[in-house]
Order: sequence, then C-alpha cells, then structure tokens
Amino acid sequence: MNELVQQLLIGGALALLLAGLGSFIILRRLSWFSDGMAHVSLGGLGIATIAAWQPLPVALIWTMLAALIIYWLERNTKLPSDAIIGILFTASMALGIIIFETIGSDMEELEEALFGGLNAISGSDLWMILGLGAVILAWLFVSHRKLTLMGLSEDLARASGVNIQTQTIILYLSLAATTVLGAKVLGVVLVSALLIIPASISRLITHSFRSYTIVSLIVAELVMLSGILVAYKQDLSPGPVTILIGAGLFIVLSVVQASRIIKTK
Amino acid sequence: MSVTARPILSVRDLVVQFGSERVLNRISFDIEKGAIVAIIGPNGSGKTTLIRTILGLEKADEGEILVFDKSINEVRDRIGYVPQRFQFDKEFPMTVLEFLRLRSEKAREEKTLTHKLSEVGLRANIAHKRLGELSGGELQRVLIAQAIINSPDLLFMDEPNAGIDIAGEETLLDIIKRLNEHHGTTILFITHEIDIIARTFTQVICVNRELICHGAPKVALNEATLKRLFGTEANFYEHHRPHHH
Repeated sequence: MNELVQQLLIGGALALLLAGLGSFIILRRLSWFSDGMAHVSLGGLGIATIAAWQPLPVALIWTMLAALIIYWLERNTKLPSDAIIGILFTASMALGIIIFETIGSDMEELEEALFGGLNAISGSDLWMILGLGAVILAWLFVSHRKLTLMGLSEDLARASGVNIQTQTIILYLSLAATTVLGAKVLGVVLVSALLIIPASISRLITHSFRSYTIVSLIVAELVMLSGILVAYKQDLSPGPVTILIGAGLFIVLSVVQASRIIKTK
Repeated sequence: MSVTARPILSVRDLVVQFGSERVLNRISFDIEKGAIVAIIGPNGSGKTTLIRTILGLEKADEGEILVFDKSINEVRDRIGYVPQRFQFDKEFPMTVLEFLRLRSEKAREEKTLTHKLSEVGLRANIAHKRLGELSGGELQRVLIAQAIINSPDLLFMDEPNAGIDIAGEETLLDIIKRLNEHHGTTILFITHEIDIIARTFTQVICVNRELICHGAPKVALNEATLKRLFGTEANFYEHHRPHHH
C-alpha cells in the first residue's frame, strides 16, 4: 500500500474514534482524565521496552489498569479525581522516563513515544488500531443514548435504568485504550488535544446534539487528514502539525464567537 | 368473595442513614393502584430521600421496597420521575425534542413528541429550543413531559410545582388528574403546599424522619398531625382558585 494512503487510512480511523469519544469527554468533563491516560501509557511503553515485549499491547494493558485504579480510588478515597489522576500519571510517566534513561535506549524511542509518528506503526499495530477501534465505536453506537443521558443528568440516567458504574468503567477503559492507540500517531503529549479540540470546536458552533456529534466527526477528519498531508509534504511530525491546525481553527472560531457575544451585549 | 388488590408500592421498615445521621427511621406504608398521593413534611424531613430511595438513587440501610411486587430495577420501564433539582450544563447542546427522544422508549416522531409538549401546556415551537434556553417554568414542564412520555404506571414527582406560577400549577394538577383518570397512573407527589391537597389528592403521607400520618387528606391532616409534623401552630386551609381555561 502506498505510504501516504496507509497514513491517511490510519489517521482517518483514529480521527473517527477520537471524535466519537471526544464528544462525550467534553460533556462529562473528562479532558484531564484523557490527558492523564495518555501520559500514563509512557510507563507501559517503558516496561515493554525493558522486557522486550510488544510496546502497544503492554501500553494498552498498563493504561487500562491505571484507568480502573483511578475509578476505584475516586470512589473509595476522599481525594478529588483531578488529584488522583495527577499523581498516577506523573508517577507512571516518571517510571517510563527512568526506564528509558536506565537502559540507555536511544532517546529517539522516547521522543517517538512523546510526539508520535506514523512511520513507527507496524502491521500488527495497524490491525490492533483498526480492530480495537471498531469495538469501541460499536460500543459507542450501542450505548450513545445512555452516555448522552449520563452526560446530561446522572440521576435521570439512573432512574431510567442506566447502570452508571458499568457504563463509566467501560467509558474509562475505552478512553484509556483510545489514547494509547492515538498516541502512536500523535504522541503521548499531544493525543488528548485531538480528543478535545474537535468536540470543543463543534460545541462553539452547534445547537443540537445531533449536529454537535456530526460536526465533531467532520472537524476531526479534516484536521487529522490535512495534518497528515501537510506533515508528509513538509517532512514534519504529523502530531504537532495536526494539533496546530486544530488549535488554529479553534482560536479563530472562539474569537469570532466571543466578538459576536460582545456585540450583542 | 372480594379479593384485596396487592399494593403496587410497598415500603417496609425503611431506614436510611447518611453517615451517623438517620434520615428515615422505620418507614412503612402501602400504596394502592390509582392513588394520587401527596408527600408532605418540613424542609429536611426526608421526603426527597424517601422518593430517591424508592427509585434506587439512594441506598436503603434497612428495610424492603417492592414496586409492582418486584425490585425497582425490574420495573423501571413502568416508572416516571420528575426530579426536584435538575442541575445540568446550560450550554449542553441538546434540544427539547432530542431530550424527549432520549427518554422515549417507543415514540420518536416529532409529531407525537410535540403532542406530549402540548399536554403539559407547551407550544410545539419550543421543541427546537435548546434545554439551556428554557425559562424555569418551561424546563419544569419539559421535565414533566419526559416523565410521562412512556405513559408510566407509577409516577414520582419531587416538588414539580416549585418555580411555576398559579396557572402553571393548575395545568400541572390537571395533567395529574388526566393521567390518573385515563391511564390509571398512580402518582406520588412531594409538595409544600398543603392547600392544594384536598382538591386533588386521594391520600397524604406525612414524613418527618418517621411516618407521622398516612390516609385520606381530610382524616389524616388534622390539627394534631400538622402540629406534630411542623412543630408549630399550623392550619389546613382549603383554597379555591379560579379555573384557567
């Protein structure tokens, strides 16, 4: 397969996944959680490197385990969620950095984990991204009504028979898996931006939930695919280019909206 | 031979504690099908906790709750609920129509849903407004519409008349009566307004951490009960309001 076509295919699939979950992340205010999950994965990548295991599966298991620990601590300690996430992700990130330093691995590997890159994706990684991504998207499709109601009011959702605990655990695990998959392309540092930016842009300009979801998907695809194309042509990393395009779009639209609001006051 | 109907809601020895504080103490009562029940009591008396515990939103520390002879989780599709406080993000991108679709098990067509809005006294053009753009009274009516959208057999309403004017309250009481007469819906309704009870409600439950009274309003709501319930001189006035057409 042509290299650029393969990159666009992976990017397109990831954008769909990131935007699909991103819509609910913004509604449930889980941006910090998703950022934390991305950073947690560095610890998993470190362990995989030292043990000479496949990095992607190890990072997935490690990060999903961290998501479950966060869920448990949120419900069984008096600490606020953001503090728990902050402690866990910095600890895991520190572990990853120490491992990379200790084994004297060339810093290129660490840099690739932090900032991503499409060249590092193997055939098995590609199938894992497409397979796991399809499973998460299928769950989102089946559960979107429950998730939307939970985003609006947990009380109403529970009274309607939604099992909040189960849905939250699945959402946390999906989010953990998605950030790890997305980090392969966009990097640990930047992946959460593509979870947040399309949904945030959409929220600025939409009125209904249907248009919010559709616009999020369109923006994610536009930003991701144009980012990959520009990066390919200019020989740059796709992660930073993609994020800059998305952030630029967000800044323009938020300034336009803010100026409209100021005018109407 | 007459057969006594099984109660559709049965609460036995219900105890709810928040930490060391006992909010509900050994509450027991039965509700028969078709009753319109007012739940009254002073602020902090445990009325909302009682409803929330029946609905499974709070944990019961002791006791048994049976709804249609089953656990609440098995019969949720037969229950409607209007919460006391509906706190949500006002910027949440969701129209009234989408909200009703989210709550509706069967009817998804715009025409059917806007008909539900008209039943609660709202115009059809409100369907495309965002939830966050509604006034307090409009939102309250939308919440009632979502609660009755699946034609529930049992409807819980936690102070649904809070924040709506007298005309709105009349519409609300009409809705309750209509649901009760046409669908046989049993209604449990928390209210602070004692004066509306005699006109609409067939039963009253008085709660102040424990069950103070339960029965027909004219019998149960006597001076001694009200004193016990509110702790001061309280009287029961039956107001007659003009009808709104």
